[in-house]
Amino acid sequence: MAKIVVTHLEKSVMLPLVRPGRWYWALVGVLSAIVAWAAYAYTVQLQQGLVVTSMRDRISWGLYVSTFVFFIGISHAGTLVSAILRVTDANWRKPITRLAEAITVFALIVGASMVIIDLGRPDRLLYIAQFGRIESPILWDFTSITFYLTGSLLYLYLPLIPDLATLRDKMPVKARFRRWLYTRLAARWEGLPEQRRRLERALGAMAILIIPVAVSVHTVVSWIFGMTLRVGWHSTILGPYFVVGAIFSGVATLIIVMAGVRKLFHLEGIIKPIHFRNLGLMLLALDIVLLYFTLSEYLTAIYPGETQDVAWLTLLGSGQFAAMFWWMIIGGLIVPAVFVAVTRAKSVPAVVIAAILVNIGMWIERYLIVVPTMATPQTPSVIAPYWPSWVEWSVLAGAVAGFGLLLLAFCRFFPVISMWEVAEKAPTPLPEATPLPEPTPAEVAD
Amino acid sequence: MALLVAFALAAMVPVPPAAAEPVIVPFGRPVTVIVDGVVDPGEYVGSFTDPVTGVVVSWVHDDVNLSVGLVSPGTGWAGIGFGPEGVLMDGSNIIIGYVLGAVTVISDEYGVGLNHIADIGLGGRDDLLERAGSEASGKTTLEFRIPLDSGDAYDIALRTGKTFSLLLAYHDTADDLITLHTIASAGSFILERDPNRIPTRRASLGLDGLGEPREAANVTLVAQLLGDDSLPLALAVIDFFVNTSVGGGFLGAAETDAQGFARLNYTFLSPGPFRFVARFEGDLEYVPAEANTTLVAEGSPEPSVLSTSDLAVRALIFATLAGVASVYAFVVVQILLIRRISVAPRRTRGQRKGPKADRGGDT
Repeated sequence: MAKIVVTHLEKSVMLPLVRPGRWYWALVGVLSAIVAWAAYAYTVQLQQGLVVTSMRDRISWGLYVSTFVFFIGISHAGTLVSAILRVTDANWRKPITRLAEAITVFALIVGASMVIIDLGRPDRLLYIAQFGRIESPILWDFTSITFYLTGSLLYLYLPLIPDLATLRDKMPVKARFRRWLYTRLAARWEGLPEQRRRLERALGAMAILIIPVAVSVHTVVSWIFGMTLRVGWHSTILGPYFVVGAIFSGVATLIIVMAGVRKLFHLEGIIKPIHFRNLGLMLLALDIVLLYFTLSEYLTAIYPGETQDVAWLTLLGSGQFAAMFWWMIIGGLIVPAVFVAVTRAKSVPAVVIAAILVNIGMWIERYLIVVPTMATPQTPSVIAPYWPSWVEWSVLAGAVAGFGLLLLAFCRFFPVISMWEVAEKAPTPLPEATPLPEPTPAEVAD
Repeated sequence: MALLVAFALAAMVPVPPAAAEPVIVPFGRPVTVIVDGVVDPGEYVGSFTDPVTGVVVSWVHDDVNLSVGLVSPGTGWAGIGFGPEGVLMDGSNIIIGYVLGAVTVISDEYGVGLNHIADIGLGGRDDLLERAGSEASGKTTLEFRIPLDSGDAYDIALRTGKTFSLLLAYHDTADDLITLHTIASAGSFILERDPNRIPTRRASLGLDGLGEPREAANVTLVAQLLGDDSLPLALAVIDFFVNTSVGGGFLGAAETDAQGFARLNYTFLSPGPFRFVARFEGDLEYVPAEANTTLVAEGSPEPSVLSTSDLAVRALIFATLAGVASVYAFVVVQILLIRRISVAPRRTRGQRKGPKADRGGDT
């Protein structure tokens, strides 16, 4: 029997698949509990209808749609970090592309599910097929998200193939299910030159295509709002504003996930401070662009002083949404920029804190895009009141936890680092090959 | 930092805070105010000091005219604006003036964006009935009287019981009408109703659409206002609004004719349901009334405004989607080819049944 030769890199990456550690299971437990609570809240909504939310006829889009926009936004992490950096042949991206691609897929799944939850009756999703009209931005959105999810799955799977083959060949013998799974998914990969050529061709095509597809997705999401005649939405800047905001929150999410995975699975030797620094600087650049767009949007709206614009901006600037608005501007845009700029992105904790602030700010920004405009009356009436109910907050918590849970499940079954790409960059074979430790019987029973 | 300043300015630009209580302009009849450029104690029924600018506003109305005395803590110009609720300067009636030696200039102006232009320069009228000013102890006093509803398109019709925005501003030293204010503030006010004439009557308001509701076609929204005696109410202002799935808002206002009808044209840009609302704000006799109707616009048999390039747009969309799908298909084919290129022997059917079939790999 030939001995399995496992490189140092492979060992570091594959170890979490076999022995993820107690913190992993603790995290899974906590997130599962939150998801279970959210599932209970959702069953309450299914039984009693949308009346258990705070949405009514005046504000029919609330927390769910805000969260949908937020998650579609962070799905841009994979596009930017993986596709754009792959196209530009930036070598430093290699250890973090897999995470970025996984974030894309799971954020899309969670984001799309928020729309189904917002429908109240999920069976009404079929109306898209039954009554969908090409003139409707809702149909455009459904189409673009479907295409983006399909493309993102392909784009996640393609660079996984060589690593799946490695897992197929090097996983412990007792992990029968996994070996079976990896055998099925590895597409009979043997690293032949022709196979590599085919893989590179497919990857090249996907890397180029997924960029416009991703841009189109968030542009179309913005058009759901921008194509209406409502104050605060009917603006030509909304498309690019959404796309930049999406990439911004996507990069921030990637930084947070990188930090978590690095700590959880002890990958400090692979995910290095340079990755945080590069992404931190990227975050800073996007922050400045978004500040510029934000200034442009609100200043353009307030300057002519039209009645409806003023009423809407009053709600934001000094009305019932003022605290959230100023938190978004200061806490979500200015403070993170200062954090990253002052430390020059050399401090990993500073970059991570900035990323967390950015994501909180960006979620608030999505909320402020959706709710205040809905609250501004179009016919003679008062400002519509809205504060999400416990069901909505629970579903939001469940969405965030579900996103984390999907990522953790992915980490349990698939390598979070693209081993073959990292090895191409800097092969680090061990002087003496060591076999991977055999899992305990409990671990095998997966 | 500039951004912060811009946003701070944006937030402080004179818009009334949501929670701010409107100032009441008291009703008083007969009016005892003498417009002589001096505000004597007890001359006006009501007065208040604006906490932001320090301007003291004294005023009273008699359901016909509004008399105002303005005392600013500077020797430059001073101004006051009356506008629709929630607006800044745009669309406001602005009375602004200064005292330069023996000359007092007080002008009836109209807010255009963040600027103001004399009514007469816009084709309107100067509707100040009386005006006077004085300067003493570093303070400027302006007094004037205006009609509540002058009928001029560049004045705002002030109605009792309704909230209007109030702008106050002055300059420390500049005796002109163009220098940017030293300080300005915003708030709102309500003209007190004549306590002896509280409207109690209920008007009936009907709303309908004349014409075929169809995409790209016109309908005339017709509202009829009748008094509680079933007689038409003429010269009342009816506001029209629309609410659709793609938004809407204020459409316009029209006055009722002798038969009580107010009309407004509307063009449907798309098919679907449109909810229209007509509203009468009430007057000295009648309380406000509202009516609504929903018209469902049919799709146009003719090419609509938006569909002239419809076919080309559809072709472009399908071509784009087909292009993306073909790249996906290409990628899937590459994956299948990767499988086929393998030199490893294919597994037999029995080996493919499940996890138990894989027992060793390359070990």
